[in-house]
Amino acid sequence: MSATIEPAVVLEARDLTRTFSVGTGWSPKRQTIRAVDDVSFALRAGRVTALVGASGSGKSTIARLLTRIYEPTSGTIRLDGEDVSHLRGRGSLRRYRRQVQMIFQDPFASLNPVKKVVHHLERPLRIHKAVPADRVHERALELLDAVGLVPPEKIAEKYPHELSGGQRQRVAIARALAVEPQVVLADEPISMLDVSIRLGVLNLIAELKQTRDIAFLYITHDLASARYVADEVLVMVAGRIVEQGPTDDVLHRPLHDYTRLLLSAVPDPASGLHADAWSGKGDIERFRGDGTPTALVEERPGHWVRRPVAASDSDDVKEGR
Amino acid sequence: MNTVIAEVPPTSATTTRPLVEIDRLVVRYGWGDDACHAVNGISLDIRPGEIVGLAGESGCGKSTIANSIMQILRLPGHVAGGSIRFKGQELLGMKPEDLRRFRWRNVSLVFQSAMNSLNPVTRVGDQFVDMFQAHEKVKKGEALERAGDLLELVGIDRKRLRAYPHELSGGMRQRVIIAMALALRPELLLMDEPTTALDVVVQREILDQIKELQAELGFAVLFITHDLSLLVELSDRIAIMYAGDVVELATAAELFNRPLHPYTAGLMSSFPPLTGERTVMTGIPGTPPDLRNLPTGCTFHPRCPVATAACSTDVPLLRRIEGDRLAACHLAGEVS
Repeated sequence: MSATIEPAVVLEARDLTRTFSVGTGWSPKRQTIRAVDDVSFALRAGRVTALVGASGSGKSTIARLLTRIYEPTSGTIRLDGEDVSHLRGRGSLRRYRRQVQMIFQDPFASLNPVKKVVHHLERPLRIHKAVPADRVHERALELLDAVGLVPPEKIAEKYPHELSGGQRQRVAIARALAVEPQVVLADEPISMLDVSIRLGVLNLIAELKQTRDIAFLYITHDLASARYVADEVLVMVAGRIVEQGPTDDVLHRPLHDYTRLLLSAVPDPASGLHADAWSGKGDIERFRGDGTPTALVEERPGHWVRRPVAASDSDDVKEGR
Repeated sequence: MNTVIAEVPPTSATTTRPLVEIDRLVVRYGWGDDACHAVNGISLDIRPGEIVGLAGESGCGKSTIANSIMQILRLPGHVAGGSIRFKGQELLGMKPEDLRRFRWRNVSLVFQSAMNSLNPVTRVGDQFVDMFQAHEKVKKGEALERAGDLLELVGIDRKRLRAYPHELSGGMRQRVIIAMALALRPELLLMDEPTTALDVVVQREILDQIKELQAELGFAVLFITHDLSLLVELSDRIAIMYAGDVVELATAAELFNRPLHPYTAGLMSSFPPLTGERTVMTGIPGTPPDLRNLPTGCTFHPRCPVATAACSTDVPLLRRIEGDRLAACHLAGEVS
């Protein structure tokens, strides 16, 4: 945040849209849901971008689009300027995924219970031929060390059930780092962990972004942790980004009503015990688009907010980025 | 829709008798050397009309307490000592038929994943009818009428009685469960992480609703969660648990303003704030202990930033530090 020159854009999404059909084939209720609707953002090297929203806002769909688990309905994804939106074939997808790794929410489900820790790290190293075959084991131990699992020799020989949730999530992070990706997508990486060890994982992310210059996308519904770790925040509702900008600016001087609603819903004892009655009841519906054309407008430097627009005055209006 | 239960007295101490008295409760999972020491001699009172928060990390015994009150521990879990009294009456060893009447009518329980405990192939209304008919002689029409009133109580249109669970959102299902838990006007509502699976906005709506209903109906609540910041807002008193012991007990405001136990202080600093300066925080080093093999002395000493030599040998008892404040720490009062 302190640098005046923006670090390089690594991964860029432009006008990304993904729709799903719901309802069964012949049902009259069959309809299309726009899970991700015209979303544009950029992930930069050495930056953590937080993607914040309630459940069902499309956060995880974005992660699945970026890892190319889902195919975008329209829009483009660019890695280092190269269009990767419709990559096909094992080889090219594998090359792409070597650059874009993911950490999942549940470290109890994302590790193979019958394989030792070391297996989880050696496997990606072998598949992606990240290091020569004779260095694979050594490299796996280095990775464990890098994520604070010490002594690595001992941890490597353990099975996932012998580790705590926090340690398991660190293994998942080490696995993501194995192939030296440029981008790591972390989908609610701490929400299943014990409260006392969550900060350790967030601190690890903060450290890795600096030491390895990784671009992180931190997906969460927890605004306080987003504030703790992120440089930039994107606020999503109903598949659209409604506000984005530098973390402090967005969370301290929110421009969009939805961001205010989210902020007011967070229990924050520091802001006063039994704080003012919350007034946002049943308000979420009104943030779903009602068909009025809207666009992201830069109201403060680097701080964009979705506003209704007349079709003509589109000069200040952001058309993707 | 009044039931046979006597009205709960107002919050002010018109009665000296606590609603629930947990007395040196010991719960183990398994026997002998392999036993998991889930609850190690906890004493805790819940007064009528009070919201008591119970906080701690997973595995500290929070849910075991709720399950013990409800008497739904499943083997190998068993109460190995102590007693739980409800309005003076011993719950442990109660006859199954009495227990069946006691559950739901006097105490009801809302689980974390309660919204998934609705029967997916039965309409919501019929599930209310089943519940009513299990406890009292009531005609279906009347039961549905009362079910509709309850749904409206938690802010759901009574037309939704015709809905199947999958037609409701997660938050609505959780509210249906809360409505069901309140159906027989229990004096105590046990809530075990009732909002953890929900997002912040829905969580806030439900918490506000619980507070409103509690003020209106006067039931007591034992609210279990790992989210201390939420408890501080909601509860009257908070008990902090660590490795099967209550390590601190205080009013919400006192606890928040000045925690006496280092573990409480650590928990507090595990939640990054939304306001104020952004600083690097550390949480609590280490991980919670293995309940089969608890550390000697104070169970928290291996992770404690201020532990002294005595902490690894002498077990600190929960003692009165000042006023109504209790803490189980040799150094309590000296920790800032």
